[in-house]
Amino acid sequence: MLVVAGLLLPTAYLLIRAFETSEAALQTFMRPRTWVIIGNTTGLALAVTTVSGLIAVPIAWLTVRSDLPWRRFWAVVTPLPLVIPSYVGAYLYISALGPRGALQQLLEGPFGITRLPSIYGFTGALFALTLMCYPYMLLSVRAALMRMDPSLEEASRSLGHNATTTFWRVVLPALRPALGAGGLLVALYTLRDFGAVAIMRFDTFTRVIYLQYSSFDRSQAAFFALLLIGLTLVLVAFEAQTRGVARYDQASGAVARPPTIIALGRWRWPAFAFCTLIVSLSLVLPLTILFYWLVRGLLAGEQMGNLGSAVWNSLLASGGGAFVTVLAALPLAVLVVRRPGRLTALLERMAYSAFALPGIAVALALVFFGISYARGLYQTFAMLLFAYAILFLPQAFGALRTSLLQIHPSLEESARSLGYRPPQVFLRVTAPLMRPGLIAGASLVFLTAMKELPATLLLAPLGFRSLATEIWSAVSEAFFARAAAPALLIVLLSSVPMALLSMRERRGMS
Amino acid sequence: MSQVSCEGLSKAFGPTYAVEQVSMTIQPGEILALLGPSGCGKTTVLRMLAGFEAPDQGTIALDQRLVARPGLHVPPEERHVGMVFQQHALFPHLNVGQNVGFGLRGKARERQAQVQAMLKLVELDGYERRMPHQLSGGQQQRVALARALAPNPAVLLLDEPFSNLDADLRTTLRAQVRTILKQLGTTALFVTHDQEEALFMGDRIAVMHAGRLEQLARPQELFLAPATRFIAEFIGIAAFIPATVTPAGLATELGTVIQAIDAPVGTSVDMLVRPDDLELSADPQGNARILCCTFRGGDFLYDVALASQRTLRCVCNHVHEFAPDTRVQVTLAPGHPLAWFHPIPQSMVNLPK
Repeated sequence: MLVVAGLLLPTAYLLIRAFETSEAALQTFMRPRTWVIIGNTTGLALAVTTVSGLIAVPIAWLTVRSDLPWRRFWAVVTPLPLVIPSYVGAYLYISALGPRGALQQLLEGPFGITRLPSIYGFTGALFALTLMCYPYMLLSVRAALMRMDPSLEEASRSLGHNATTTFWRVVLPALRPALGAGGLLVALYTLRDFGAVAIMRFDTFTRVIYLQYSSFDRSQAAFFALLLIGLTLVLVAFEAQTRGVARYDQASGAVARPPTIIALGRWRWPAFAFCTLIVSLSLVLPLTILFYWLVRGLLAGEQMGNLGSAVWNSLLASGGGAFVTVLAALPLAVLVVRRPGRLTALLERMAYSAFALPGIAVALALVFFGISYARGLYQTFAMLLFAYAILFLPQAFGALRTSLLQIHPSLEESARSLGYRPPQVFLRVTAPLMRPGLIAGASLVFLTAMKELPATLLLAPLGFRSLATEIWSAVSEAFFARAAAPALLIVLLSSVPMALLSMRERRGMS
Repeated sequence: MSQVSCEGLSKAFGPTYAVEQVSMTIQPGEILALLGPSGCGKTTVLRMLAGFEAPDQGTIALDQRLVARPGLHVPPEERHVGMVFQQHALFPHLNVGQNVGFGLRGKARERQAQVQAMLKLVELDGYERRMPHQLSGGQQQRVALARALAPNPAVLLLDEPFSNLDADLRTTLRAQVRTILKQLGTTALFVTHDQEEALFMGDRIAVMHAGRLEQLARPQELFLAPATRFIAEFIGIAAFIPATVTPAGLATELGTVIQAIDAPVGTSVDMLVRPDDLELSADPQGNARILCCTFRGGDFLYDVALASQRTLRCVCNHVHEFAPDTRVQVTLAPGHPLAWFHPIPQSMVNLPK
């Protein structure tokens, strides 16, 4: 209960804050500027989701169902852009294609070109976010394609439809839940994203909120944060609604047959070129640029001295965040799994709903809360951990719930019948069996917290420098080379869960 | 009503043959049951007929039209072959009516009429707006049947369609399906590993074993005159006792069976004895001893040990009951010629399979 109250706190507080000056809020709402921001935000989310789908569906189909050359290689490589946080990606694109960037410097010498078409704004944000986000859709569509019962397609073929018609009329509709789930992830990511839009200087809610916060126009920031939360909730509700109508259960206990492979014929090499293009843009280009700046920075004698304390701070904050979040999620998971009922179902939904809370909104709410009610906590480490716990609760909860579901209640019951009290049972039976889930949940939170930017920027104690804030401040001042080393560290750290994920997928396939 | 025939069909997956030299013809309007243990290649035969697999060798003809031979592979959608899958394979995003109408072309009105007719046929009229996941397993399978039959396919292929259903439902559903197929006069191939189901559904039964077609015959013939030892053991309860060919017939430790034998006098053979070929009577000086007894409702099934320590099984009606260890006289009274096989060479007996 306490945990849920904690979850509700930010939204409640934003409400209070925004409507303290309800007249002004109404005026703000009527201003055309507000509508431009709403338009920008939803437009960007829509565009990123659509383009991600256009990239993800062909790649998923090609890597699961076709005789694409180097199919296995593409299957492993195409989801990898996930390891690049959006602000790192945006920084790398800017530093490659933007003013004073690598491409311009390359062209300046021989060709004397001093101006490139601007990458800032909608185009840049769309470009960076799409290339960082499409793997979410790719992974969910791939999983659905691999799970799909091949006899569905065979039934359609035997009823007189050819492969193309079958794709449009059977395969694509069957992928709809996966597209919805993946699309929701992408859209939410875009709505919540702060780093990429801020670096690309495109005015969506997150960027505007941050700017207003910096200029001390705080009730307007609160109002915008509320609007943003509203927008994400509308999105989640919409997805739940459409999925509710089309909740298909696949035939249970289906004999898993490997998907049949379709020969591409003369489309083989165009398909290959498509995969090459996407991977070059989303992975090869950013990584090349990253190393380019790293080497240049080292050659120019860039100071690496600060990095040590930034790493230490990052580890400390993420580790603390992971511990606190798992601690908060544990009672919730036990309650939801072991005492199913209407109340706990509500709790479960609340736990997941935190997924819709944008980091910047939570951070802002806690700033207000700190200033007004808990001055002692304001800009302390504890406040930062509290924000992490709210933001990453869904991840920890999900991991714990899964591992609890795998522990049959009869194990606990038999311990009870052997004379142990519930707390002892938990310590001696449940907790040891949950260990993989606890570790998975904690590491997931740890790695996500490491990449988190807006809440860390707003809530960290004065003078606190982490890897993420280090990159942020270097990029804001266009010191591209200085950002390279922390960016590389973050990318490496983010690769760990990705490696685990792809290992699991491969095990599922064999 | 169409004829389906295949000739010398072979298909290998990697180094092993899944199907080897299978030839058979399904007559127009006939239901042929394709029976065999799992992994015998029966599903592969079916998938080659449907066009989901291409044979490595051999030909397939539907109504004299070649649809597969080396170098020719007519895709499934052009074969006009209906298919009912083990997992139903109903399209989860379409309702019952849309599923049944999926393979229909032409005017909306005619399609609608055909959907209605098909749903009526499988006794699911009024269900067209339901989604597949709202139906029970039996209803789903009936929708799958209606969907496959709606475009009037030349032949209907059924791939273990009842194996996901519970026993009661299976019995009622198979009766219903057989009635419908006979009513429409559909040519059908029914794949199953359940011999009772094959005996019930099939006008004729084709038995496959290790990729080969061992026998294609009417059910009675399979039972009384199995072509191979495998079929003798696979269908019904079987025991073999050694016998020697004599001018009169086959001499065994239970006496001589009078029948014409197409083998030289003096040859040692194994004779197939089924429980209902034997008679039991109480006799303290009898040639056998009761080992154990299973009451099966209508009759008793006894395991008896002969003097040679060989064990046989016999059926007795439920009036006579013998306690274990009772001495009995076992008599051969088949009332029909018994099948016999050349003995397996001793060196082969204990080879691992």
